[in-house]
Amino acid sequence: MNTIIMKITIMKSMTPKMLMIMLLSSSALLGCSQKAGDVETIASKHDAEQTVDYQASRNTGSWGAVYMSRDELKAQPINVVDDSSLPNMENDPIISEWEAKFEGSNAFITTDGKKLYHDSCAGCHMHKGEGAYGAGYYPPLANNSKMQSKYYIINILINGFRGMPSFHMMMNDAQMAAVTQYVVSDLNGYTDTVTAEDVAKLRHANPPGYDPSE
Amino acid sequence: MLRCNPLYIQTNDRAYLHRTNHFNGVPQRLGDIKNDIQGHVAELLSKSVNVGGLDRSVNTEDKEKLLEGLKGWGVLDKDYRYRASNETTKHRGFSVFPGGGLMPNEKPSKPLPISEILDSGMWGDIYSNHMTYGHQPTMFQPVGGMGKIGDAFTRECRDMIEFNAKVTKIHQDDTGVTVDYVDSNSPDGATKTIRADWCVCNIHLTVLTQLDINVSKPMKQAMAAVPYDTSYKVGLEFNRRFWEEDEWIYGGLTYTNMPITQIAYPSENMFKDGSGVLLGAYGFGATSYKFNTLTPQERINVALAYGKYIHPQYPKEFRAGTSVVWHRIPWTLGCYGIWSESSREQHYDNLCSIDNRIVLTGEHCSHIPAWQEGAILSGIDAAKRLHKKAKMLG
Repeated sequence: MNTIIMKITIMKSMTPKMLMIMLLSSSALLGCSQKAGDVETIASKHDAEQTVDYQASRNTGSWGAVYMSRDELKAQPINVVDDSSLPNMENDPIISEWEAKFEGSNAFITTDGKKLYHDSCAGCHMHKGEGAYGAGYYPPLANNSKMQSKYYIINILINGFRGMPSFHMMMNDAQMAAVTQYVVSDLNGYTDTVTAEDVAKLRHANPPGYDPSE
Repeated sequence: MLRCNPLYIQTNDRAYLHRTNHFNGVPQRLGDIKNDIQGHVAELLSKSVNVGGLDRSVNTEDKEKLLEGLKGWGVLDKDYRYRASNETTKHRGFSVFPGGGLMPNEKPSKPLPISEILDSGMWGDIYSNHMTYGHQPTMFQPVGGMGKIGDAFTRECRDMIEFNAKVTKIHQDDTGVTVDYVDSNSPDGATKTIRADWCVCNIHLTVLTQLDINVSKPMKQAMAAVPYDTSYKVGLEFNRRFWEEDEWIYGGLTYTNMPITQIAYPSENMFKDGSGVLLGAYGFGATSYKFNTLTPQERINVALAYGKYIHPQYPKEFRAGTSVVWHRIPWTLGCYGIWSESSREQHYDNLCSIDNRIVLTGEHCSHIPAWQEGAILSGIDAAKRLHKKAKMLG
């Protein structure tokens, strides 16, 4: 019972900011034609809904009936979870920091080789390219003479290698070139230049899961 | 004995679908979106039927039945429109729920606009996840979670298990198999050896391909043909079960386009006072590789930073967190074996066949990758085949 009382207290102490947002979001959808004819498009189909409250399914109306009196419910409904304290996502410095990492989608977007390395390879081969050792091992990518051959690296990126998955579908030619360049130069000090054309030469339609060492 | 909870809830209509750039970033109840898609699609389809759009495909009699079905299925009004009514509310829930005595009067809820639902891509979460075979309404899980299955095996077979044994070599000959191993806590220590008539090996292929093992060339090629997928999970403990108390979410999954991808609500300890644990992030793909590269603390920070946009209670109620990225687990080096149609065709039978005295088992030797079910079924099948072969040899 205490928690219920506490929650209602929280709701009542909410700022009117939420209400403003809700009113704005509703009014933005007003003004459409109220006539539903056969020519309506999907985009205009909600015209007859009049108002749309995005908070409806978790506001005091849906939630509070059994806890609130008729009079209390007459007040403008507010969100039962107090999101008034949340910054707008675009203005949230913590989100901005992580969006730089996650790039706003489940994909590698950047063509910066250093970032690509620290977003993918480093998961196993570690940030300094030192590799790792457990039941098996992840080979080092730094100070590794095999990295002298850019085509060796590109080949593994495209086809995978034993347990290592292929990046065929996840990185384009420019990205593979950039991350290969980072491994070749920054982690190993070789001077060879890697280009997207180098990658294009090796790319093919279907990467087989074969073991190049066989 | 392993006790099972009667319920493991994968799909819960009270859980959310969330897109940062749609519905003003406000999470929407799965049930609302499901009902509204059904209603809007039924309206559009009946419109098409009514203007003769399907006359080539349905005859007059079928047309009547189809319209009747669409009207009931989509909860359409007499003009075949999907509009807020007491009827639609029976399906998608109330705006004000019915009460007793002089509690507030019930109020119908309002459908969400189809344009925004389509734009948001939330439909994809429904048909790619919630409508799949794996999301049965009745599911079971051991009390304490799926890990309890492994714990139970450990308990029953304790005397047969040698922990921290890092295998370095598997060698078979005409009469048996010899396995070399070292103590993983002191890998430079003395090599120990064990010998048996047969070897059932469930070492992950990521590790097995790095070992000295004498099996046939086709089996070796098969072992090297299975890359391991990436995945991450973050567990978050909160001081109270606010998803239940505030939002009436008991079990199920929320899907979002943020890097956390999913939030899963516990099917255990519902209504309990005190803390509760959420799965605060779980995903695959490029996002998973990015998670792999973070420190354990950073992964928790990410789950909290994004998760608060679905549950604003996060910052106030957070208590503790943990994470796993499978590519960083030293004895798996990846989450599960990735098979394609062509690699199955070429290598699967070779991987699973008994190679003289060695047979491989695990989820990678099954048609149910990643799941314990696949691992256990492969073990049962290997034991059967091995038993038959041993009997034949006398």
